[in-house]
Amino acid sequence: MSGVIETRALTRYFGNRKAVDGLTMTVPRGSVFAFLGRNGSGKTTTIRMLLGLTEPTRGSSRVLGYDSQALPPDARARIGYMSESHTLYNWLTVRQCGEYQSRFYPRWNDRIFQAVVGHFRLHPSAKAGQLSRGERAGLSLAITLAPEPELLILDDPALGLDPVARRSLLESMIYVTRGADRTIFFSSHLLEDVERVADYLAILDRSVLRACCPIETFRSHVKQFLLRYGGNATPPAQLPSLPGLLHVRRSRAELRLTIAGANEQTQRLLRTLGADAVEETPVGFNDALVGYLGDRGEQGFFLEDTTALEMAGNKS
Amino acid sequence: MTQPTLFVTPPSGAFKAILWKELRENFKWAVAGLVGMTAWLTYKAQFLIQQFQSGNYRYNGDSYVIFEATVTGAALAGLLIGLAQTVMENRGDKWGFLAHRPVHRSTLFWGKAAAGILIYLVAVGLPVASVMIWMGWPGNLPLPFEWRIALPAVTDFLCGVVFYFAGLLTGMRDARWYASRTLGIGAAFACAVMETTFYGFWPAILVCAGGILVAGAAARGTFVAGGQYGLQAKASRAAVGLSVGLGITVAGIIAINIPMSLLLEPTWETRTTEYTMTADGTIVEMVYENNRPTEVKDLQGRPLEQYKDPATRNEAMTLDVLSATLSFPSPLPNRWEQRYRSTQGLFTQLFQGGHSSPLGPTRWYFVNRLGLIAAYSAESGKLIGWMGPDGFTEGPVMPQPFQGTFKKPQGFAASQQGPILVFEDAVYRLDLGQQRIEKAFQPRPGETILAAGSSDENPAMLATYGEQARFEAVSTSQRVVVQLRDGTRLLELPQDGKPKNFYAMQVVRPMRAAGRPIFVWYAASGFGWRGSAVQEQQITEFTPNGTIAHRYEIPARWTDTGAPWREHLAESTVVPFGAQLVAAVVNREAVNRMSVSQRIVGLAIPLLISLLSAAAVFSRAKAYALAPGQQRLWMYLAILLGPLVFLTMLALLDWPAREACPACGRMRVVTREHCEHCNQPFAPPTMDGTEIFELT
Repeated sequence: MSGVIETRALTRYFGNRKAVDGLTMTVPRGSVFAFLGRNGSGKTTTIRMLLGLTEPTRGSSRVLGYDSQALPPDARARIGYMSESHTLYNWLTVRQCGEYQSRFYPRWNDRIFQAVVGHFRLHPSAKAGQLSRGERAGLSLAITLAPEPELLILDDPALGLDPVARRSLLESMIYVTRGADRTIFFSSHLLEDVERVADYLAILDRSVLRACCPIETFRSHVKQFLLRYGGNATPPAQLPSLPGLLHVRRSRAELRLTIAGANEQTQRLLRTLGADAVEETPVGFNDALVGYLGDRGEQGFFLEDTTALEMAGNKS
Repeated sequence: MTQPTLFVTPPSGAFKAILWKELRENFKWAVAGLVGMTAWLTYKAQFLIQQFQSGNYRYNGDSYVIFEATVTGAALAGLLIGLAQTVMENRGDKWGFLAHRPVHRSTLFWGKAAAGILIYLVAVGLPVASVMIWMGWPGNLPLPFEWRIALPAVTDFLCGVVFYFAGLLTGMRDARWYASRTLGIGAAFACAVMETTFYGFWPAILVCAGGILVAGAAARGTFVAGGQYGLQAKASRAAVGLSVGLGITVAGIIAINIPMSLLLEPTWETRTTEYTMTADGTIVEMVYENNRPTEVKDLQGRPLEQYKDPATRNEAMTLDVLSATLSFPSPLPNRWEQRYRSTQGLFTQLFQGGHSSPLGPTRWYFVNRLGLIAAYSAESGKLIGWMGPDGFTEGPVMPQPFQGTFKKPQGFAASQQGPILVFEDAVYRLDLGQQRIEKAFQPRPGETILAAGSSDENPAMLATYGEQARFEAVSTSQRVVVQLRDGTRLLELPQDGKPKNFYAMQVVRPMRAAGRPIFVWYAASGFGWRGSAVQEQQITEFTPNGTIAHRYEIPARWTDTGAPWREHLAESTVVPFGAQLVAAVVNREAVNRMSVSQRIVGLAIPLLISLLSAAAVFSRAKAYALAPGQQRLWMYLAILLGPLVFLTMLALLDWPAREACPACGRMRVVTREHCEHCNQPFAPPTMDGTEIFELT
């Protein structure tokens, strides 16, 4: 498949630390592509490598068919980029920000700029340095969208925004990029937003790409199983090796397992764990993502407290 | 009310827009620089005025009081403006916001640089130009100002541009502040040193132009590559390498000189010789060790016991010995006087009574271009009048100028200290206090004056010996004349051609010596010169009736056998092999004075150090899998320049992480797609069974 973004074994080290490890993926044209991962997983580094702002240690990436490290100006004109800190020149007014940016973009659409600025209720003579975080995000989005980019790369655009500003941001994004040929590649920690707008996702776990698929595929691949133990039976202290095991939650009489790519063989293995019943329980998209993004394996944090609380609940 | 459009609306076009943005963002630095530089220059100008008015200050020919401020101020301002434009914007999201634009990074760089230079022009150019105009404005400084005096300001300004680019380079270069980041200013520093020491204006301009080219190419290449060295084109890598290499050299010189001066200076042994005359008319050899007289010998080398006591030695050497010194024109142009940073080629300040006497309220200058003496009031700074061969004229109207070439005296600060003024066709006696001038010597037709000198005015000697204590000596194309002020001839000899071979002549009269002889003493390198070599000297002693009493010849010879071992070893260790080779070819005389063992050690130690450096370079280059061409280049440079190259290599190149190769077990660099030892590719990340892929 040919995509607007293609990476091949893209790797970046900072000193001896591997920030991105062998990332190979393709972003389809016209998709809204969520790029997910926990803090420090390598999302921002990847985005900077895609834009040629950081040099990869090895591997390569192509954006709109061009090598990221040699993006010509006309390719850059087709890529809108918004950083997580919503960088602006603080001493410029809202109007001047627009005017300044417009000098660089031949396809600058002032109507879009004004629309987004109006949507965020920004006063044209307000200085960028005096705007609230949400307003800065709005202005940043306005100057990113006004050149009508073919590809929009947004690095955690909603970071730190209140729900209203987040909603405005999403609405603006969707409104402007409703054209079929436009692609949005965005990183985010806000899973509701991902579910609302994205049709593809990629997940980085500790610098390694673990998932890259349509949202529906992801939803269908992550499953949760509840194993109930009756009488004196208790869950086994040690679980056997379960392929795709993401997350385990344990109580005195239950085991709740989140598994990626569970199949018949997985279910057979689960039945060997001595439970009275093995049930597949519905899992929401958010829970599936949290399960996928969280630490692999059994959770130790607050485990004992949870067990004690459950036991206390049973007694009462 | 409409807003002014200047600085409010960005101009059209990417270059103009970035220029506008940079000016708006950084113009505060122009204002800060303007205020700072103006304050500094004002302070220096005020100091200069006070010095002129105090009566003790003598203008030594270098306008250094102002230009020490222009050279340092321009450098500092340029560096800080360059840093201010890059340090805050070269990383993270701010860099992304700047660099991710549909323009070439070169356009961004030149937009930045154009704005930076405009800011620098305001911060430095305006105050420097103002102070130059102030210096030239009549009534501000009591000296004959010519616009050539302002030339150092031009080169200092250009040198500041080199520092500006060095600031951009330092701000952009991806290196640690506590390690090699600041070393990028090396080229600018070297440029400043050369610009201030070069004699000619145009060579200094060329040096600045070269500096701008090197620092500009380095800064541009580094900006375009986002601070990375490895991503730059060859030319800009070479420019960055040169800048950083020079920075390491400067840092190395400072780092080495401090301990060396502490360790070696106390035991630095120098042995020098000087020939001089005693009060009784005997020529003696004085031997100095570490600048202290330790021995007095006669011309046969026998120690003279009577001068052993330092308490009586000085008196015996100088008591009632009168002398007049003549400097012969050099066949080569005096480059020191022609230095563009000096006013010595433009005018000569005239003093009456030598450097120890206080100056009156008038400053006198012989102005070369006009052939006249200008008088300025130190109090008002204004021109008082002019003195020509026919006397003093008040006011701006110029009298008839002197004819013939002015024979400028050589020596201390090129200032005319004696009461005579020498031209090819006449010698004048001056009394500046009384604003009087009279002709002291007139050559015959067809005869030209080569040099003339007068004995110092010494009131004590005048009291003891009367008019006999004041005499003048003139050397012409035909004869040597020694005469008293009243014209009485003490000696007249035919010219023997010695001025062609000697630098200076002294007429010495030991007034206490029996028969009061007159010595005509020629020296190859001037008087008061002392060094590790004895200069050739020829002395003729005349009786008062003009007959030759004695002739003395002192041949040139070396008085030492070269540098002592400790100094030699230190030099051999510090100076790289390539530089030692060049020095050996250029300065063969110094090599000849060394012993064989010193010569061997002098080449063997640097060669050994160079080979060790090359081995270190090779080992590092191998470990990090540098391309064979690069390996060879760094090794050749290391053989020539030693550890400097190894340090430059460490400072410049990226040193990526290394990992053990799972295939061959050896350490390999992570930047290569395949292991440099076994050619196996890197394995993809290990799967943990949770993967969900449907696109790739």
